[in-house]
Amino acid sequence: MSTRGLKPAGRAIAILVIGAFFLFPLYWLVTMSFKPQDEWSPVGGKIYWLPGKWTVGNFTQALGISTPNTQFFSAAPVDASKPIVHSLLAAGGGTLLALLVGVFAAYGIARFRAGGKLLPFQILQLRMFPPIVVIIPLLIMFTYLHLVDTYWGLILVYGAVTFPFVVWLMRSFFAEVPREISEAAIVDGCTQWGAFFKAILPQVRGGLAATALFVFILNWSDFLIALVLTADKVVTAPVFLNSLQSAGAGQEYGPQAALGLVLVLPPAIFGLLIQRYLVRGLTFGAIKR
Amino acid sequence: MDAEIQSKPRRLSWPAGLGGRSEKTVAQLLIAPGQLLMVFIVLFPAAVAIYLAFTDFQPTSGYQWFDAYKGWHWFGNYWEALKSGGVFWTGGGFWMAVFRTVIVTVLGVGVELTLGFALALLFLKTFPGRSVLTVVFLLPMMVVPAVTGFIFYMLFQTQGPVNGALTFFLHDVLHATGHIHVPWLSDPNIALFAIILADIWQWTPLMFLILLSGLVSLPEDQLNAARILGARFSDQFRYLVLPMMWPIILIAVIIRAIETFKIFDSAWLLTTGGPGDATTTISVFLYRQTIAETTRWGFGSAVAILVLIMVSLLALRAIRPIEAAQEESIGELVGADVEAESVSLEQAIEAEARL
Amino acid sequence: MASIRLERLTKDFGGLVAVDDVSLTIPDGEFVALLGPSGCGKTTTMNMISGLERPTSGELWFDDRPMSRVPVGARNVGFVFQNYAIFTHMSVYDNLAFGLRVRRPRPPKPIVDEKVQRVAGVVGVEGLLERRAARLSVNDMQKVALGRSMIVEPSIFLLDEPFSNLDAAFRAYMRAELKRIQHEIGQTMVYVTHDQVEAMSMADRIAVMNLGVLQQFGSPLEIYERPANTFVAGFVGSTRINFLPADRVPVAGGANGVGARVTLGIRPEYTRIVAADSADATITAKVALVEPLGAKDVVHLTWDGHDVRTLGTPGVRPRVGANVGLAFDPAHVLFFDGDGEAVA
Repeated sequence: MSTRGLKPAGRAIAILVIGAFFLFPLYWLVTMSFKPQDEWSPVGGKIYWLPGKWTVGNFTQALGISTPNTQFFSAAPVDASKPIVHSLLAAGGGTLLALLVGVFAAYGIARFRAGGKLLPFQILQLRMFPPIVVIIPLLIMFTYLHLVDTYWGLILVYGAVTFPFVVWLMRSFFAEVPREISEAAIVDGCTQWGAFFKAILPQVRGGLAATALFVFILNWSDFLIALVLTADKVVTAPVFLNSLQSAGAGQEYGPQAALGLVLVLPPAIFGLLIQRYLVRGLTFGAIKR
Repeated sequence: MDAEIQSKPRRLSWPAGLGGRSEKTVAQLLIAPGQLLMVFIVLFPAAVAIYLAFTDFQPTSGYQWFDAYKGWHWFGNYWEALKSGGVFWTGGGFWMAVFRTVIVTVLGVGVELTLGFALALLFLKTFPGRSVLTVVFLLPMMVVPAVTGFIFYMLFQTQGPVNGALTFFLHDVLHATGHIHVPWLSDPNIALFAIILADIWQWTPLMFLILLSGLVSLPEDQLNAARILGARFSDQFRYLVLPMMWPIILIAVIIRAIETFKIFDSAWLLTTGGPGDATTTISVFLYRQTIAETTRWGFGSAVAILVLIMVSLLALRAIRPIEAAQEESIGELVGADVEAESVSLEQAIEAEARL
Repeated sequence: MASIRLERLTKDFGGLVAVDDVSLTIPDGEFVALLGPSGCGKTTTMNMISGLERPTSGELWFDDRPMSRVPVGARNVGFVFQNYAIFTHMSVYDNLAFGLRVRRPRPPKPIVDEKVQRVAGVVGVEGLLERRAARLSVNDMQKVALGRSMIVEPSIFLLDEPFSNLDAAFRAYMRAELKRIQHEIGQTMVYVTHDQVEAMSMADRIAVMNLGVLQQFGSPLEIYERPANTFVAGFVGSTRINFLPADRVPVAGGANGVGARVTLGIRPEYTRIVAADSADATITAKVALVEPLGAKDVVHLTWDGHDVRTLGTPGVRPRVGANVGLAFDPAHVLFFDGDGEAVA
């Protein structure tokens, strides 16, 4: 298609402007995480576009490596080391659960056609629930089952919420594997399960990895579920970030930004890794010409 | 996930010894855990919510939830939600929350679509650094939404960088005087736009990605044929690009609209629904009613059910155009496998990166 | 209607030279075939004529207008693609009307309608106007593609292997139709093909290309009887020409290997099987294989390690293994030098 109406110069300017729009908030996050306390809020109107004094103090605070700076206004702790661990465990556990349940279900659907054509629509319908809608009953159930503020509770919910994605993604990956492979394995003497593990699963290794990363990102990013279903024992990183927001009189941007940066790194890295799969999925999929 | 297994004889090609029945059991086994999970996470909570919606249950009521019938309220909760009035734009209540959510969704998705399309068009032809820039442009999508809320909280401070940048622009480019001191987060009339902007920032890259993939796969021969016949860019766009991209655009818009409707994470960290009720979207409204401000679980359940009904109705309206759009694409693929249909919708939704 | 002149046209794709210094002139109203194997540059050349590709160097003229600055849409050419590229999401009517509707100013509906009806009649899709283009048969799609290009009355028509996807019977029909249309309207036509039968039967003149270089530009007869080099000689001709070392073949009037004559070429149809001891026999060889092709058999002989093909006389089928003589028609013997170029 001819977009020759737009000269290279025009295009460059447009891209630069839009690029600036997208990069600026990230730039702010990064620079803020390296600013010393007196540069966080512009007192007297001076905004620090770049840290005047680059410091790693925020990171050491946030990661619990150093003790809280007595200069902070509030006495609220900014040590995010435990929340980060909680996030890792909960997200990791939830991902594992989702994978476990989802991979088998996906295989069942791919091989035995359960659900069929309706499934994508059904999953779409599932996605339409604002999570807050099920949160209250879940909270009630969990209180009753003593699952509030526990790892298992979170993992259970994370797994349940993300396993539809696993089913959906893995289903199409399984569908790409020719039937003959499992048949050949069975002829060679494997049981059905053996055929599955030894012959079919290795074929979808790449898709499995991408799905796992994708789901991990989802769980890692969760805020609302953890917010409602946990209190003070299992505090995930996003929830902790939120508590820093409301705690205390002053705005502790520095450590918050450091935490924020740590939070966004895994999804950014993983996301870029699986980008190829997403794009491949898109170009194969929604547009079939 | 609740569908029964259909065994189609021609697809059973397991060697002898593994008959139809054993296959059915295997299939059942495979999806059983999934079904269990669904019952646990979806069906049961939904049932509880329906029950509680008829009561005025609160955790402080003094009895367990299954005894909630003690505070039976009939349709009182529904009535209260549905007749909620309130000051326009900044008032509280159910309807205002819905209205604000609709505004955020419509404006947000609208701008995301336009901006994403413009970007996709810009990126269509190769230029030096395109692959690197594509990665850069996809970054906002990967940011944890809660962190997005925090970032924009910082940015939109009255003394913050957004105002600072605007002031700089005012001084050094337009050579005017004065300071830009827009109270983004504290003025009830404009706080909602901060939320919308944050959403646009985060999700335009997704639109960009989906639309670019679509544009790239447009049949080049047809576009060339149009060019030779004298079609300019606007003609190509109107007669070829838009009609051919229509199914994709529709899917992308519907997906984003559904997600934007549920917005919570970034909104909460930006404003916690304030100032006052000015940025209370429907999810924030529910959260405040059931946890943050009061714990009216009965009332909250009723509101949740109302939201569910509304969203389901919208979804039903949306399924028709999606199916029609799919029909069109299928019609052009003579002899295409029906499986292709489910794959294409799936894969399109697959691009949805966030809850 | 316009003449086309290519002057030293070159297209370099950053290392791969698809079209190398091609010059030729196509007079107004002539039907020219661009013939050659895949990758020879014929499609790229055509794309440069249409404007889809910009030449790296060289100039292009329509009549006396230099076209290098004229954008694609303004060249008034018709282009038929190999896979038709009709607008599948539109109706046949809209497909045909497209070229008119994008005109500025847009012609009024009645005029558009009249022209669409007329063109539909010419190509034969009158009954299909309301049908969605995607639901047509392949043959009808091609007709629509043709009509879509014709409606804007271009002065030059470019066709890129337009009939290669059609079934054989229809292909023959379309070839005849195309020639008829071209004669009637008198458009200059450039027709890309890799099928030499097609080129030979349809074109007024053929431009043979290989690896981006123009090998020869002449009438079918010239191409066939007086090929400019071994490539052209070998590419054209239903049964492939025989190439033999010139110094081994005793041909009257031919200086064996003297001077530039390195290779001798003789088409199978200009050879004749005779008795091995006949005075007419230019060479004697052993029959290796007989390919029955119905009207005429192709007889493969082995001579001096070479496979020599000749056409058998109907009814007379030589025995495999027999020693026969092969008479060369001296009027049709061709000679080529060490580089493959034709010499007298």
